Amino acid sequence: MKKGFTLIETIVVIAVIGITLPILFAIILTLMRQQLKINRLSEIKREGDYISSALENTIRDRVFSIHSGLPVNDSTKICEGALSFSNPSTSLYFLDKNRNWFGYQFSGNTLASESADLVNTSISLNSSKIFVSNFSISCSRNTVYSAQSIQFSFDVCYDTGLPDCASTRPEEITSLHYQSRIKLRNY
Amino acid sequence: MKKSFSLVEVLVFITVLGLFFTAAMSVTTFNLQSMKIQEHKILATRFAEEGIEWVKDEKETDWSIFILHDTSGTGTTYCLNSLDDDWGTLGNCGESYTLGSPAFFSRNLLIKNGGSPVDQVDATITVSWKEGADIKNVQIKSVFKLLE
Repeated sequence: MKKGFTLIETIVVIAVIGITLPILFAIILTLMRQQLKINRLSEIKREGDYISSALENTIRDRVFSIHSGLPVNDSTKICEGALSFSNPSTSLYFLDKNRNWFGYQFSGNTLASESADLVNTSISLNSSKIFVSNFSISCSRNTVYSAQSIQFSFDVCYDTGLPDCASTRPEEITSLHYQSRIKLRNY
Repeated sequence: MKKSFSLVEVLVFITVLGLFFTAAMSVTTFNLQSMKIQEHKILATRFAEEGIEWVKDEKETDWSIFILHDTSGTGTTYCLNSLDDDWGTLGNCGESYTLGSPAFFSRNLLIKNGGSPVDQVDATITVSWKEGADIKNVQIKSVFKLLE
């Protein structure tokens, strides 16, 4: 009695497996890629929302006067008179009601928060996996009696290992744009 | 005697396997589709928020100019696919899905003045995109007041 598979049977089985497995892997790969993209997108959205709302809330409630740089004193004060505005820059400093200074500075791929309480250090608002780019912040004022407004804009993107979040695969690039204008409450 | 499967056994096996694979495939396809929708929804939400921010910006800049954009009293629609200072184009975006990259979103702003003199403006941003044959929407509403 003959036992075992014939050559034909074996070849057929291998052929079927050979067709099914690549399809299966392709499907799994597509799913994983899509999942990764959503992860990255929700991550940059989360951090972008955080930066945007942190900036908005702090600036709206705490800013008393606006300064172009350090040291924060009367000579660096900007946006004081009527119809005054500043050119968009990468950093701006403020004084709060208690005369404590704080500010935001953008360099490299990070947006950092600085303040008098943090001696010689700054706190990065974005994590190392997420880049902030094209950050600009400026102020303007219409009349001496109206509140100053601060406008800022930036892009967030996910680090792909290449500069400026570039990638050889366009579908891998995830980037979001943020912009806002805030009117001061305690000026 | 050589033992082998009967035709019925083979047929039953293939049917069961076929059913299983069909089920697995439809689950996967559904999954992939909803993931795509989710991705687009995240982007659309951002575009809608950006739109509301832009309207807020316009409001903060000059209230008296801001309220001139709805004179009908019943609401005016603008197509805000690009955020310029000139308020995009008057009227619904319709089929022009030019927002985003790749471009397949459209952003409409419905603005409605309230009070006389106007002290409140209702703004609704609707971001739409095509998902296969359906049109999906993300909507954000906001109220702007003169004194705030």
